Amino acid sequence: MRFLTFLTLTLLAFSAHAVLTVEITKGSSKATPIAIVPFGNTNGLPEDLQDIVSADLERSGLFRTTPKTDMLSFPTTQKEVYYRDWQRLGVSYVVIGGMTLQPDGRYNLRYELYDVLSGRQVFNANTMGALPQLRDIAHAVSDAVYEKITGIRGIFSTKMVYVEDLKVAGPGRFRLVYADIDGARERVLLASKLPVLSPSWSHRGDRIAYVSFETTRPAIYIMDPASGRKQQMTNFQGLNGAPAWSPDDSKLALVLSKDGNPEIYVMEIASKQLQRVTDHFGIDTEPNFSADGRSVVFTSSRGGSPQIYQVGLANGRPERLTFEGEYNARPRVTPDGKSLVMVHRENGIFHIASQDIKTGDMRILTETLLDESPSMAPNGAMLMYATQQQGKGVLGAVSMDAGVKFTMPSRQGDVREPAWSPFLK
Amino acid sequence: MSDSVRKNFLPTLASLALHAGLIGGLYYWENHREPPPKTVEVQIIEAKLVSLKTKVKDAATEDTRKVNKVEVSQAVEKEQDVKAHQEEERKASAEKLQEETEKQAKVTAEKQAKELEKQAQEELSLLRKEQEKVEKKQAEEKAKSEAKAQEEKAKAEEIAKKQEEKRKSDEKEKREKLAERKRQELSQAKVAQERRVKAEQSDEAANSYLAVLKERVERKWNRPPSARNGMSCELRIKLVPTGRIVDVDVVNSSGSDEFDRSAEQAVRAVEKIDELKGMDPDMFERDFREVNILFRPEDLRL
Amino acid sequence: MLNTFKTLFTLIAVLGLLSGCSKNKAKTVTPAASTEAPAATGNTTSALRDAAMAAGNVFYFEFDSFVLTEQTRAALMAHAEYLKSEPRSIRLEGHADERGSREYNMALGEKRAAAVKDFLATQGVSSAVEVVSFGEEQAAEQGHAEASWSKNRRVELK
Repeated sequence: MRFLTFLTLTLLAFSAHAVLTVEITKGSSKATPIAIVPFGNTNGLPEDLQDIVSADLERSGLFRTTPKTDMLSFPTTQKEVYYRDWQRLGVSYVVIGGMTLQPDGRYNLRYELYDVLSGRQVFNANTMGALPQLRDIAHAVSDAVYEKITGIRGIFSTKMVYVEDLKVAGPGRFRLVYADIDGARERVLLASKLPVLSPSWSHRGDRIAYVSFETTRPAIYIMDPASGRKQQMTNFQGLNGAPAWSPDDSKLALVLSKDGNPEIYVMEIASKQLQRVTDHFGIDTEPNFSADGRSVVFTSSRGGSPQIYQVGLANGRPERLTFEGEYNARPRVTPDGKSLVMVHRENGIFHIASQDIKTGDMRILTETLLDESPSMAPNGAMLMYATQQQGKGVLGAVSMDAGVKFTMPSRQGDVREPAWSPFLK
Repeated sequence: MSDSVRKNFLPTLASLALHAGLIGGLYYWENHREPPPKTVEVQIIEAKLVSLKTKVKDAATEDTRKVNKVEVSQAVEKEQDVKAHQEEERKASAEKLQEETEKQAKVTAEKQAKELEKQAQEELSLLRKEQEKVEKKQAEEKAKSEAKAQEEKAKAEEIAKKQEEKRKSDEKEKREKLAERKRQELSQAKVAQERRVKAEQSDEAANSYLAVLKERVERKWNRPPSARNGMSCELRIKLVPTGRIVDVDVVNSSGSDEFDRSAEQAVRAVEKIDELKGMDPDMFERDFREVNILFRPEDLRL
Repeated sequence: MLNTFKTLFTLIAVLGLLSGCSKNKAKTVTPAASTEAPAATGNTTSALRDAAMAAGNVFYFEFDSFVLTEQTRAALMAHAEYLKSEPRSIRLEGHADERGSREYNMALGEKRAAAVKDFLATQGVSSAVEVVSFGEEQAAEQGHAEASWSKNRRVELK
């Protein structure tokens, strides 16, 4: 095989004056070694910024960070960066910086990224915030460094909501929790003795739709996570579920069974006016808008087993999208609008899979236990999902090339239904 | 309770009958439906074409039709007239065009045929000429040799000695010349052969050095996740005879800083290729002082 | 003998309902069934209640299915007789096991409870029936294997 690649070697114009050209068509996609040097003047702060940035980058799977204990020096300015030292550690990039306290009481972090191999600065920037925003400052550094090196926008400043079931009967058994994407700074948006489910972010990130049984029957609510103010959107007989926002946030696709069967409807949020989208005696549920907002993908059992269909809102004609596997459900359209991620069962095992909408090519992304509820990162590079570990519901994450996988540390109760926020602000 | 059975039995029977009837009806309808209207459509199109044709054909007799259709307003008539006229013109021009095209095609075809024939004839005459030449040459040579023989015969005795000597010296000279030429040719061939072998060997050597370089760089090239198949970036590297890479320049950027940087980092991470140390100095100067490296991924998923 | 007849009939009715024949047709069957309700029985109400209690108030289903099992139909018939003799409003809570997606399971629980409701209607029960699905949100058993799952795919009559 290697010999073959030797043979494919191209030798252009073997004359005395032309420069030979070697063509490189292969390479690796390994984690990039990077050192985040402890930032100057950050001792005594309530958060360890170096630690937060390192953890962010590590968790993306695209970076391998150098432990503090391996570092030969702790430069905080360009003059102090000795490329040779970092090269010797096998590091490709170094991040340094220093904090200053502004007269207005805010913290200003200056940070710089260096390309160790070429021996030059890639960029430098500042980020500012008050004391409670130290974690935001760290995530901003992670976002910038990640984007400069990978060419993809960072998601470390995004948020998530998820549902936690404490499994102890009582008024606070089911909780809707809001947290940083690394799991820190969690805040309970809602606690109920009855189930809460299906949280879904608006595309602007300013509202969350969800289903709550707090009245002993399911109803769809919309909440502003900043103020905690909520509004009940539906109260029909039977199912009131699976809310999903239209791309312009003016409508919700949802499921009602008020007409006898679980059907997909689209509700205009301002007027609460309903448009019925499907009409079938089987199960139609879990709608999600296409990127252009003109159609809805959804789960339907009309073919005998749950499969994913797409229906144009104008013509109402459903078209089946999935043909692989015995169970495909809960589709989510990826941010680029080109693929779906879904719950996919093959040989009795539930996976998260992605499918190219145009070509129909399907890829299995996860192989843990009872995987469900995939939620895409807004940069399209990763998704989070719910799975089980030692009989407990935990959150997992996987990169879209299925190369990076990890589970978030388990919490008190069962954690499930992660919903990844869009880019905020 | 048996009442209920009886009571329920009727509606069930009725519903079953209804279903059977429905299915039967559907089946009958499905089987006795008119054939799909595709052919009809075709007919319509044909009819249109025909009417169009007749319209065009009858354009000349428009006047008589005008008389017949009294109720038609003049404007419409005029329009029709104009239309007919236009169509006539269009038809005429189309016909003309077609004629011209046909004519042209014919002319070209004829031209081509002629050319082909001409070519064939030329080739034939050329062949014939060559043959004639050869024959003539042979005849000439024959005549010459005969004349020479007669002359020799005539002058044979008196100048035999002289002739003999001269011929001898001539032949000797000739032989020597021939030998010399042969020697020269031989040595030339030998030199060429040697040069070829050397070049091949040098190609081979250069290739294997490049292969080492390629392998080292590929091993170090860590593409950013934003890299896509089809992106390309070309670097020029400068080497010194120890095999150390002393300089890297982007000759052609991919347009993506991350991609270019990953390529440059790959080369810089290679640092030094010890295998190049043993290279023939001429080859190094000629081919390895500067080398271009084209990064163009083909193995990415996207 | 009578029971087999009746089971056969209801099977036809339920199948007709599930196999997508129009709802109107199912409805034409219902009134016929309900007329016989008061006429039934030489049994006392307490005997009917005992029979219903004995039948249990939880009905189980196969994976990804909302078809009533034979056992469930038999049990529901006992409940139907009791409800007809002593009408009260009931609540049917549909549930699913934890496998598969949550909102799909919510719909599945709804279909299960609706199947029970429809069956009771064909038996002539005219009580007010509320259908609520909890999907997989309220498991009866916490295990993560078929032993627990089979207990969680259920409809509870309350």
